[in-house]
Amino acid sequence: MSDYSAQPPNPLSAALRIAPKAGATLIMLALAAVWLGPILLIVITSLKSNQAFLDGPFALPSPPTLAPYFSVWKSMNFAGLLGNSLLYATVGSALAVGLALVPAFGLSRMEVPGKTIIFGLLLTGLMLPQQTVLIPLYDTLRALNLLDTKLGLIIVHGVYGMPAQILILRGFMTTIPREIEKAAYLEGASDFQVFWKIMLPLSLPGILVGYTLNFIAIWKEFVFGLVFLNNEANFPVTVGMLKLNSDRYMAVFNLPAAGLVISQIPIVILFILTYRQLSGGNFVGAVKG
Amino acid sequence: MSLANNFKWLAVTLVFPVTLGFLIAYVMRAKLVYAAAFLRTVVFFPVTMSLIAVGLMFLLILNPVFGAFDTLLRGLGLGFLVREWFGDYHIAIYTLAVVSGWAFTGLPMVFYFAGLGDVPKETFDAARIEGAGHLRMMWSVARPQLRPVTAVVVMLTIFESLKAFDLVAVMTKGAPFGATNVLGYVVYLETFWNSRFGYGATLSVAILALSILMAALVLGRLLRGAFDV
Repeated sequence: MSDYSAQPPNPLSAALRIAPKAGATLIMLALAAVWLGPILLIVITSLKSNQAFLDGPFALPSPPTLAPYFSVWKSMNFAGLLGNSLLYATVGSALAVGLALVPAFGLSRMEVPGKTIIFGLLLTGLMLPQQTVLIPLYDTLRALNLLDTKLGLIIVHGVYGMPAQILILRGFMTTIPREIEKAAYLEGASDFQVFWKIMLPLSLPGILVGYTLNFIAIWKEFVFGLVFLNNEANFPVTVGMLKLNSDRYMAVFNLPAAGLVISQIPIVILFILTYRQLSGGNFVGAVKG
Repeated sequence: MSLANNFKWLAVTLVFPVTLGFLIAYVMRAKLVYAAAFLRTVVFFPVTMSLIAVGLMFLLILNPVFGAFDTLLRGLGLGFLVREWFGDYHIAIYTLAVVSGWAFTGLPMVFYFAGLGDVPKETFDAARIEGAGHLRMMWSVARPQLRPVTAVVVMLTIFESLKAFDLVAVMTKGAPFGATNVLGYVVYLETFWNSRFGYGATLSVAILALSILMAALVLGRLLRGAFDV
């Protein structure tokens, strides 16, 4: 194609060639504004005094002020809420991935009787909406005296996330060539050694993807925290934030806006670090496999 | 009532995010626009936001008195479109569903983006030589090839709509007059506020049965003939 069109550069034809693409880009940018607009608007609002907001919601803050942030940070105990969410997300995801490692290895590599049935049963765990397991989990936690404790919620998150992690890890492990383990078995390695010294290090990319997805899921999670916790000191940020939706805060817009931005900062950082992997859909292959 | 609301929710989230997600993914894969990576990032970001934050955000933006959205509509001369987005008995549930779709679109987009990468490039080239435009290629080349992806996406959408809860809890709490009650929220209300554990448990089993039934239907329909082209 390029061989035939290697004519002397003609500005007019070049302009005609890029015109449709530029037009499509404009339409797409308008579409992007549908997603970016609300977020930008909230960020702008959070940087304004309330009077400036009332003067016009779209105007840029001049000068920007951090006062809403300070005031909402103090009155909402965001440090505690964010700390709790971080704890649930880091430890809960570690638990989910940790629980999933051995089953994923078994299901991808070993001849287990009833393998398909076991896998199928584990997958139904993916389809369980939180509401369907609320009542049994509530009873179980109460029986174990773990209701309204951080440990209880961590265990719930870990177990709830496990089926998805098994699916992701099993998919990843099946893509690892078997020759490596065969060589190890010939050298006299045990199943455990193959698992520990070969499969685990080679699965590290899959583990990281799974961990990140689980981290985001727990960070977003709301139902479990709402139902299983009563003590504000244990609330994750999603539950604690509900207080922003009260007359006290909604009377002025810049405070809830600032609280909202604060609650998303950790996930924004994680997003920046991992979005290439996530938005490229690299995990989709793992899920399909 | 709340079941009907779940179906309205499902209808909206099946049409708006899935179609748009597919469209955006196609446009990016076919390199029809500049700055495709930017668009992808922007659309995907809300997927990582908690729905509580999304709900609060749109409470602020759609606020009937100070909301930026109504101001924007009036500024564009579309003031007659302004509604009580959360107060109107007939509109509230659709408002919630559209907001949920806003937050969800990135997921179908990513699935279709990855799926389109697996479609052999030759099929598109062949279609182009036969004189097919992009609309034609989307419908007749990409869509059939992506049936397995669509099956996954539709199932995710179904589960997502059946367990809808967060947005209702933060934005309307079922108001006005239960017009935004969805199954997931009713389970919570009955069980943990009205202490009717049995009723809540029955409802939650119904949700589970419904999601399995619908998943089976979707898989049966979409995957039939997907592999024997």
